[in-house]
Amino acid sequence: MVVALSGYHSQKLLLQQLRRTVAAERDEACSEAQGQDVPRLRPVIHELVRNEPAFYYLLQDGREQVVIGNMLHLRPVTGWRWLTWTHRTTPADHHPVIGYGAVLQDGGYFFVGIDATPLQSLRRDLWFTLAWSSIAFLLIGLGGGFILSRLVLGKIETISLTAREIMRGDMSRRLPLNGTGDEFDHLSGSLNAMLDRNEALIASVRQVSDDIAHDMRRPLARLAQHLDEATETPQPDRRDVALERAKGDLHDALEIFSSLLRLAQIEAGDRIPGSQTFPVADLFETIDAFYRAVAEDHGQTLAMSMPPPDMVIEGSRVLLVQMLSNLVENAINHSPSKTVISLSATTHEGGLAMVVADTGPGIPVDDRERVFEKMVRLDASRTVPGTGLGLSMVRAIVRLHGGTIRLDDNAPGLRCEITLPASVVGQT
Amino acid sequence: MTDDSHNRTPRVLLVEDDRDTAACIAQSPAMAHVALTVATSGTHGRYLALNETWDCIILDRRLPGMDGLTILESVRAANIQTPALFLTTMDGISDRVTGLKSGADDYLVKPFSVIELSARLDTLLRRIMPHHQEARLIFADVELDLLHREVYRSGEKLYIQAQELKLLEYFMRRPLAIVTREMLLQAVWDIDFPIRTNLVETHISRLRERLGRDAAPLIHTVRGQGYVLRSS
Repeated sequence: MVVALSGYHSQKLLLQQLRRTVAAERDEACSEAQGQDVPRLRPVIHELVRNEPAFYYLLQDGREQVVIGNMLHLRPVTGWRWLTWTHRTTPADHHPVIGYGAVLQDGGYFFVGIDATPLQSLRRDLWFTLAWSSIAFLLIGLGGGFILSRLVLGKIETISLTAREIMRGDMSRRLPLNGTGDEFDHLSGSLNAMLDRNEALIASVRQVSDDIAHDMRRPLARLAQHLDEATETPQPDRRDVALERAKGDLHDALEIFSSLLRLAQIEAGDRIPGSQTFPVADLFETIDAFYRAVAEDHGQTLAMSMPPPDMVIEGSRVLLVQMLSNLVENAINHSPSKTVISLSATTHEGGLAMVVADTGPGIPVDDRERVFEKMVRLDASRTVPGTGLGLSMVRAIVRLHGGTIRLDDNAPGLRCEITLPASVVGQT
Repeated sequence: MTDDSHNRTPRVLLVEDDRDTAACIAQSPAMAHVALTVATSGTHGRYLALNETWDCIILDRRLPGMDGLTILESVRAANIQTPALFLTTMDGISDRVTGLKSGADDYLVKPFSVIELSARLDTLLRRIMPHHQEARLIFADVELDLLHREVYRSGEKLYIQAQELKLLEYFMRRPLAIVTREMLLQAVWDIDFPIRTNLVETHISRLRERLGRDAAPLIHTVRGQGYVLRSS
């Protein structure tokens, strides 16, 4: 484009210059002849043809007969003209002619021209450059586009192939990153993150359906058994007992069902529902109001170390109450009388550590990780009511709040420490 | 609500698309004391809710045509303050909050027992006077001073803990109505997760003691159903 413009401009300049030269020569001839008619111009042209070899002249009379000049007959047309070399009388070369012709007052015709080779070659060079540069650009464009599209399409094809593999069931497949940090890496990174999340969600859905299928079997089987008993027994009071038990089984089954769903919701969630900032002491007071009397009825002591009122926590109050309730209930249910159940909270590396400890029988070292799994109930606690989901729920709530939970020996008893990160400790 | 509302049969609208569930509720002896009208689609339910007078509306959350939440919103938008109860299978914590925020007075998660529904319905039907206007609740010889949070029995001040007082208040607002364990856990302790201890039983028995071991019992256990506040 630039080449075309500057080329056009320079050829226009050259053309103007040539025209100016021709016009000057013509003016000079006319002034020397002191008039514009054939008889007066004739001697002047005669001189010029001999002395000015760079110019071409033609003088014709009113009957279009060549009077003098170094050119062949021309039709008398007034204006600028571009003539081929064939119009010249002594063509030693093939140079074209550019010149100006005008009809004279007496009907004659006077033409002055100049060699147009510079303009012609300039124009030819211009077209040549333009054509070649266009071809070159076309080739570069095509080639570059081809290579670029091969690169891009190759990457897209990789993504597409990976997507197909994932669709075929290989959920662990991820898009390769080339480490250049370009847009494709970003895209792959985002897609991988999405795939991670999807895989986790699918795994959790699968886990829930497995859990439900597995864990509902027991209470439903018992329900069927008690209903059989009720229909088969002839005694009304035994039938009532069996029906009452069947109702209990159904209640258990529904409770397991809703607990599993809730657990799955908490495990799959990445934001805390109804998050608010409140004093830790509120939590402890709630637990105290719930369970002090219950512990006393079991002959146990609930010992609260009330945290200072300025110790606050940011999280779901409902879930944190459930978390502490489950732990305290475990302590109450799995410990004999005279057990002391203590609750305390301390700041810990900018975060928060809550400890629920008891002086009960504790949990053997080997089982301390296993008890967090769903439906795991240790043999020692078979007689205590429960679904085996309590500690799973506790751990899910702790994890939702970004914390960790560990069980230790309280010598004697169980010490359960929940560490919550600084992000959960709200600002007062 | 008018003064004769005690004497006539309360009119209850049930919007429930599952005909089995609706029939089970309608035919239950626990619901014999109310005149139940069943609508099985959301649009019909909304029409009835807006164009007739009811004492209580029971709404399923998921309905064909129009969901329960939308029905309740349009009922409340029409400035109808009829007590409403949601039946919901949506067990999510946030679902419950949206239900209550949209103007529901109570919710019950499916599956539920008709007895539980009946008990909750009764407490809603008893909401004749707004709570906040009352300064004291009186039942038999028990007087609960809501302003000073004090309890008197036969004129004698009783020493009672805050949690037990909350429990007593719940009963005294619903005299003669059966109150289930789940209702107490939800309303008094704000617990909606399964618990493994005899929390309710323990606190009921404490409350009974506070009200006087030798005096006439007021809080009675209804076997298999819950508790009820009544004299003798």
